[in-house]
Amino acid sequence: MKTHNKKPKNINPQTSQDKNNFDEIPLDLVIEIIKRFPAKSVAKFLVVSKLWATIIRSRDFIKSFPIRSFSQPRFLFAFSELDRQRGQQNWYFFSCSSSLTSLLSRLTCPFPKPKHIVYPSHYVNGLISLGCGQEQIICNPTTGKSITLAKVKTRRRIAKSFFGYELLCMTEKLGDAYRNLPSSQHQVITIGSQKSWRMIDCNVPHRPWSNGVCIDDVRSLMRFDLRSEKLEFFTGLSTDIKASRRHGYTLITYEGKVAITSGVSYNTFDVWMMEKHGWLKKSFSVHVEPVKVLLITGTTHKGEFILVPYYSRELYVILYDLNRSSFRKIKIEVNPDHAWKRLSTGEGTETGACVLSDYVESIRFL
Amino acid sequence: MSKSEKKIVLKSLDNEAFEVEKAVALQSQTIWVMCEDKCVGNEIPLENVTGQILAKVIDYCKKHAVVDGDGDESSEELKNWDTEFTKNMDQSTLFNMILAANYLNIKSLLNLTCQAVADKTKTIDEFHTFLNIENNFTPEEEAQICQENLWAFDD
Repeated sequence: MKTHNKKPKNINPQTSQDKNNFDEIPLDLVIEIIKRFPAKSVAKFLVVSKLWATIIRSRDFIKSFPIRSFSQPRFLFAFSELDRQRGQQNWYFFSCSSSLTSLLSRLTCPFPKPKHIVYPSHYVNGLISLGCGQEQIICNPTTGKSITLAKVKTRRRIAKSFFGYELLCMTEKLGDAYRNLPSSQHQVITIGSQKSWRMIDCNVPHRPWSNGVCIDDVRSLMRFDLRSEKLEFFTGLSTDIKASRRHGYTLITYEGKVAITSGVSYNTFDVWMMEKHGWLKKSFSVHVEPVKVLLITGTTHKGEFILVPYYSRELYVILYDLNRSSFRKIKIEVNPDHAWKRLSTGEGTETGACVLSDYVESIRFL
Repeated sequence: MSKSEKKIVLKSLDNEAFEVEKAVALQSQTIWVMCEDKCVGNEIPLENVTGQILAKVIDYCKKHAVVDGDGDESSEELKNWDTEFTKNMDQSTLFNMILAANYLNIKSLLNLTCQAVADKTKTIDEFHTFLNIENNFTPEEEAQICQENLWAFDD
């Protein structure tokens, strides 16, 4: 194999003298250091050597990245633009903190967004699922790279997707009165290894509910174990969760535990946390001026709830600390030259924006 | 416990001796194991660390032995101290600190110094040239990786 050396750049005499000291630095320490670089630098390290490229693309390395933490919270902010002519969606991803908003990547999702049906995007460990129903892509906002999943084969009219490392979905069991309604079919695909969807058996007849469908009072949490690939009954819901059926529910992780949130009014929220011995309910309110309808979109790694205004000209995020019963408002400063500014005032285009969650850099799909 | 038992002597590669409180030295898992095994006396020879580096490691351990376990404010203060601690170290010192932290098995110091190297490295070339790594890609292979990852190589 032909080899070549990179031209050494800007090496001062001190460095070139020292470098011999570090020829023998153990590989595991080098890996420890590489993990602490930003994703962009890690991608550049791919061309250092074949060994480094193999390490960076390895499953273990990808899983342990990123290791560094930021004192300031950073959010992933996504903007989508519907291109009706071409039948596609254009997505723009930004990372935002209080001091800086920068464009991470842009991406075209080749599926048009259907009218009247909201397909939620799932953002998990730095990857986001986009698309609708049977057609999905998984995208890495850090890099703008994506993979298109095989189309799901099903005769059902509605297909809902969940994307995760540990999948948990709220469902309802079908009661006697609905015996003749078909239970959901479940299919699963694993990124990286298989090319097609596999049918999953489930002995509890049920249909997904948290994303909109609501038929019966018997509701429960179903759990999908990614290792055993079993979809099974996980736990029942608290009676007061069952009782209030007017509002939408969001399933989130709070301090490592499963939690269900529900908006009681425009600024008041109920949170049920799954404890060892049952469900613990807490409520909180957030008062902001001017008054806005707020939505919970997730939690930060420090255990604060992320809330965003449903509609607002001013772009901001509210972090609510349940333990201290206090919140802070982080205004997101936007460079007026950014493309999204044009989008937000855009004429003739249909746009949507959402703050997804804590931004997590990912180096998947390098 | 007598006064002398609370103290411990650490001896560097170049025979420099440092007398420190046991509580300070025991933040090193390596020293902790040595003391547990009672295979050493009151003087511990550290054959992989020079006096210059050991002095810095001891500074770090002293600071962290005093403040650990206190409230929020001091953890903030400790963070600032850590930043100052690595601020003026050059890459060569930092790499030696990493090697020392690894040998002495002081996890928090290893985290701190690894992160400091990553934060201080301005160009990627600087880092791998420092490690003296030979590039075994052909120019064609290298160009292809760049092409596949334009997002990272566009500046």
